[in-house]
Amino acid sequence: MQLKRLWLTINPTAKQQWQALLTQAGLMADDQVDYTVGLYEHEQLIGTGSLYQNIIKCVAIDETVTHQNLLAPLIKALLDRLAETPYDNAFVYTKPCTAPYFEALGFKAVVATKQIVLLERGYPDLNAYQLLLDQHKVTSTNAGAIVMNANPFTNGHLHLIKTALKTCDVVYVFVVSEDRSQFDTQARLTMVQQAVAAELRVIVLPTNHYLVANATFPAYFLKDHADLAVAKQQAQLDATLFLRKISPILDIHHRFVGEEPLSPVTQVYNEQLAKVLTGQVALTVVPRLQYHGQPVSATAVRAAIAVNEWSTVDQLVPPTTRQFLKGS
Amino acid sequence: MTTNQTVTVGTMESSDIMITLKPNASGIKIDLESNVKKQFGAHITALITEVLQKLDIQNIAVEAVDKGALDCTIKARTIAAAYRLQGKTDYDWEALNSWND
Repeated sequence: MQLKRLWLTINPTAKQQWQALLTQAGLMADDQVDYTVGLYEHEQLIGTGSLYQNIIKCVAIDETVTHQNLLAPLIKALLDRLAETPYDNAFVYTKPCTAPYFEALGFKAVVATKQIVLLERGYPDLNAYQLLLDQHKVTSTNAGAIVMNANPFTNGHLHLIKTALKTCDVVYVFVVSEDRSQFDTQARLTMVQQAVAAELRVIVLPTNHYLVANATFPAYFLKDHADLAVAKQQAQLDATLFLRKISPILDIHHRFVGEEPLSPVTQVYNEQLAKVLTGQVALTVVPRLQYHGQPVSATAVRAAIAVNEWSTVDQLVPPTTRQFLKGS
Repeated sequence: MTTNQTVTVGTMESSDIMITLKPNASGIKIDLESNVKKQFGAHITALITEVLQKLDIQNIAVEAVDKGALDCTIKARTIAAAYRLQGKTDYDWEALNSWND
C-alpha cells in the first residue's frame, strides 16, 4: 500500500479515480481543496482525504477495504501536512453517523445538529476561545452581538453598531477570522477597533474560526446540494454554535444582523438564525444604511478603491477607515 | 515553566499512542481516548503523569489517542513530546536511563 499526494489540477487520471471513489462513497466531489492525498493498492485508489485551509474534507475509503483502519494513516498524513502550515488546529464537518470514527482519532465534537457534526483537534481549541471570550467579558444586563467581516469597515457597519447600542448596554463585535478577504484578518480587526475606540461599551473580538462561514462550509456530504438547502444547514450549525458555546459565556441576549435584501442565501441564513435563537436570544434585522439611494456596502467601497475613486470612498467609510486605507 | 505552543508526537496506528501537549493554566490534565480505556485507562493516565512529573512539567494539558500502546511506547512518546515542547534536542540519556534502575 502506498500513500501519495494527488495533484488533482494537473493529473486528470488521478482526478477521475478520485471522483469515482467519492461518488461511490456517496459524496460529491468538491473541488475546493488545497491538498489531497490518496492511498493506492496495485495502482488502484482505495482511500482519499483532502485539506482546505485547516478543514479536513472529502474523506472516503473504498468499501471493500473499510476494515483495515485506513482512516488513521490518511488523517495522519493530512495532520502532518497541517503541521507545516501556520494552522495549529484542524476541523472536520461530517455526518453524525461517521463522527465516532473521527472521535476515535482524537477529534472532539464542537457542535452538532441533526444532520451535521463539527469536530476539532489541536490547540487553540474551543476551550481556549471560550477562555479568551471570558477574559473580555464585561458585566451587562442586556448584551448584544454582531458578527461582521468588515472588508473594509464602512459607515454601514458603524450604523449597525450604533443601532445595537440603542437597545443594548454592551455590544460585542465579532470580526470574522477566516482569511478569505481583500483585507487580512489583522487589518479588519484594526479597522473595527479604531472606529469604536472611543466607545467603551463596544468590545471587538475575533471569531477564531468558531463561526461557521458560508464560504468555507463544505456541503459535499449533504444530500441536497442546492445552494439554499446548503445555506440552511450551515446556518443551523452556525446558529447552534453561537447559541450553545458563545452567547452563554458573554451573557448575550440580543443578536443583530444587517439586512441583505438582494441575497436569498442571507435571507435563508437569517430565517434559520431566528428559528434556532427563538426564545433564548432576540434577533433584530437592521435595514441597510442608504447613501444617495444606494445601500452602503463594503463591496461598493472595494469597487471604488479599485478604480481609485477616493471621493466616493470618503462618503462611505468613517474617517478612521479612511486613515487606515491611506496608510496601507 | 511556561509554554505557549503545542506539539503532537506519535501516530494513530495500532500499538502506538499519539500524544498532544497543549498549554494548561494549572496542573496536569489528561484527556485519554483508548479502546482499552476500561481496562488500562487509569494505568495509562498514571504513566503519562509520572513521566511528565519526572521531567518537571507541572502545567500541561495532554490529549492522548491510544491504540493499544505498550508502556515503553507510552513512555517514549511522552518523553519525546515533552522534549519537543521545550525545544530541547539534547536528550539526557543518563537521567532517562536511571528511571529503569
